[in-house]
Amino acid sequence: MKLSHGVVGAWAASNLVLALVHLAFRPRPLPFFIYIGGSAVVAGFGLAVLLAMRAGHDGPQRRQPRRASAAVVAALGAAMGLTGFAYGWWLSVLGVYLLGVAAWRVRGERLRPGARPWPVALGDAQPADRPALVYHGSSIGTAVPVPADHPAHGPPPPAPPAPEPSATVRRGILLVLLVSAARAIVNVLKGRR
Amino acid sequence: MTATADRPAPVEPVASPGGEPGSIVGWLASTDHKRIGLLTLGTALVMMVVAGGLALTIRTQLAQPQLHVLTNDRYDQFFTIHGSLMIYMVMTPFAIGMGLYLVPLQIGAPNVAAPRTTMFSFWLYVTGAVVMLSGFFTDSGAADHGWYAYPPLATGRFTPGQGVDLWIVGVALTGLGMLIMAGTVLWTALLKRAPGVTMLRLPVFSWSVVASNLMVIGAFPSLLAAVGILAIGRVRPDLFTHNAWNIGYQDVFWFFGHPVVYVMFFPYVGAIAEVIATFAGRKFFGYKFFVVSQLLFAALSMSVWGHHMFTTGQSSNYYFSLTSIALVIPAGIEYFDLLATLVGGRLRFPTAMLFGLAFIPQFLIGGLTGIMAGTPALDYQIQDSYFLVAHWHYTLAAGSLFGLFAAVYFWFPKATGRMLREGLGKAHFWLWFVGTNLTFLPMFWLGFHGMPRRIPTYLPADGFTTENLISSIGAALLGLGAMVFIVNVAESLGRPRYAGADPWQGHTLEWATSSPPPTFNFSARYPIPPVHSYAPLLDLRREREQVRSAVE
Repeated sequence: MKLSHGVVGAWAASNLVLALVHLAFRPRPLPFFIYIGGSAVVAGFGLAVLLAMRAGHDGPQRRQPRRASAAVVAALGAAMGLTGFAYGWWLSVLGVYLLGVAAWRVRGERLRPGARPWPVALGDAQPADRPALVYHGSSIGTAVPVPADHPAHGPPPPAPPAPEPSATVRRGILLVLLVSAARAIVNVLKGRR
Repeated sequence: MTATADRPAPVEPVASPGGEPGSIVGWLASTDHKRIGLLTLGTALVMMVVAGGLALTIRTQLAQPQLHVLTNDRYDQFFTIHGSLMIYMVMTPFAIGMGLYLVPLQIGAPNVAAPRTTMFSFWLYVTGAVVMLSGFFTDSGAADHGWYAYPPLATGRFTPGQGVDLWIVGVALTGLGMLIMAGTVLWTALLKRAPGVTMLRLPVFSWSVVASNLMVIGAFPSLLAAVGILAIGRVRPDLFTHNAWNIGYQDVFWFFGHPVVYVMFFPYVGAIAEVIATFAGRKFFGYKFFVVSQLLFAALSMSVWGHHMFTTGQSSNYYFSLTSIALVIPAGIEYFDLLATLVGGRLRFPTAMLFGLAFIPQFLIGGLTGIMAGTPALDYQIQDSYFLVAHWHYTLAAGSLFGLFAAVYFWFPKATGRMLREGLGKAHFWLWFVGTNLTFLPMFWLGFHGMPRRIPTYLPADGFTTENLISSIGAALLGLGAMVFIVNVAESLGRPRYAGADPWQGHTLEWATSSPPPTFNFSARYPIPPVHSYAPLLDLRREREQVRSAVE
């Protein structure tokens, strides 16, 4: 599991190295700082991953929101707000109202404390089993056989008959090999002279 | 412990859901990663149809000299919006959307992390697309400055009107949306895996999404900064005439603009790797090398943006040429792994495999001509010629688009529970295989003969007629192939042939659950099987075969 933030960290570090190599070519300041900035953003993401892991937020997420209507309204508000750039800032003010509506609606989507740790239904579905319980892998938990009707037990695909190269192809391959060998011998002989 | 272990009922009753199962609200305000993913993929495909329509109109105009299907201004708008749609609204969202749909399934997670934020990002994307396209309905028409909107052309002084403003807003919304969506998917892959699914047991596709989304996190803020600079320049055009931001904009933009090429590439390579491994009936060859090469590829691809600026004289040409050419090392490893997976496999050739196989040589053409373009001495010659249009389309159309369709044909049964028609699929493939090469190969010759990109027409004396005609005929075949695909989808949804959970004998966890998967991906009936490698279902089959042969 530790590899998670390691991947991000190593990737950001390799970008940092490439940015430092860039220094040897005397770049203008802006490209250099853009590169450093981009690497820093990724490093920040890696740090967030590390902190989340230390806070125990890794593993399957069991608490789920019921709906995302606030997200829809918020996106429309953001779109309207930015479109004010083209049609006038009054539109941006309307967008702020929509963001307010989204903030108000998001409260209803939050989980109440009593809902933990089982997932609340997504949309219209019933609550699912805890994902941790349905795992029967090798690292934790108790392994049980995969049910007989599980698709993994399906028959392997029938092996297609191995295609035989036609006589023409065989002759062609032989011809190419002979010509190549002849050319190689000629080249060797020329080289000796 | 069993899958249906006794447990107390939730102490809090489930509140009323947001909508009926199949209702519009149930879809549009869903928190299920599969629904958000399908909405993203569906929107991207619709945008592809729009962008394809624009491209066909462009090719119609160029089929013969001095045709005037479009006015010059409208022609500029068409190629600008075609490029903008394909990059910002089709290939990138589809790549990230595939990750959104598949990564939680492949890692045994019940959902994406932060599903509401992910839905927010989808709606930013959709509104961004609508805002950008709405430019066509303004007095000035849509944006007409090319998909990278270089100043000072794109400033209010030289391109007044609301079309460019709407383009900026649309790109900002979509860019922000994709940044957020990639962040939640990456967070999911790194932190929300089922126990036992270690990083080195992630499927190849999931690794490609990790590498791709790392680039999004690093590079997409730069896009937002670039369109922000452009927006300021629209209000104060002197920004681009009296200080360093004229070239500075190019640096900021291309710091996004080149990594995004690989964002539009990696997930499709990952998809093809899954397709090839599945239909070769063997594990993907050189898994660890592939993973390292993807990460190295991604890291290097952040350092090559300056090759788009060789001819400005403001770029460190030696450095950017060196890093650009160094890309052949990880790319070579990936190609080797793809080919080595095929060797010795028990090959099957459904449509997905055909698209996957065609990707290999076609993308190679795009990649090798990219090395040419990454060499300053050559780039000075081919800059702004049709050679670059050919290279670019071999990369994205002949390459990534074939990966996209390989993925669609491969995972459509999983997402819908229905099989696409193989006959129609193969017709689609052959039309596209012939059409793609007929369309884009002549463009290399056009470039060599000196045809500049983005010209609305040409003279008979220019000598571009034959190649342009061939290219337009190829484009018509592509349009026909796209129609066959649409018919195929409609036929499969209208008169379904139901797919089982695992119609292809897949290797990864998504094939262990039902088609389509249940709400939280895995259930008591479809539990997560043991995961010992990056191909857990193949392991299971082999174990079963070993047991059976031992018994016999």
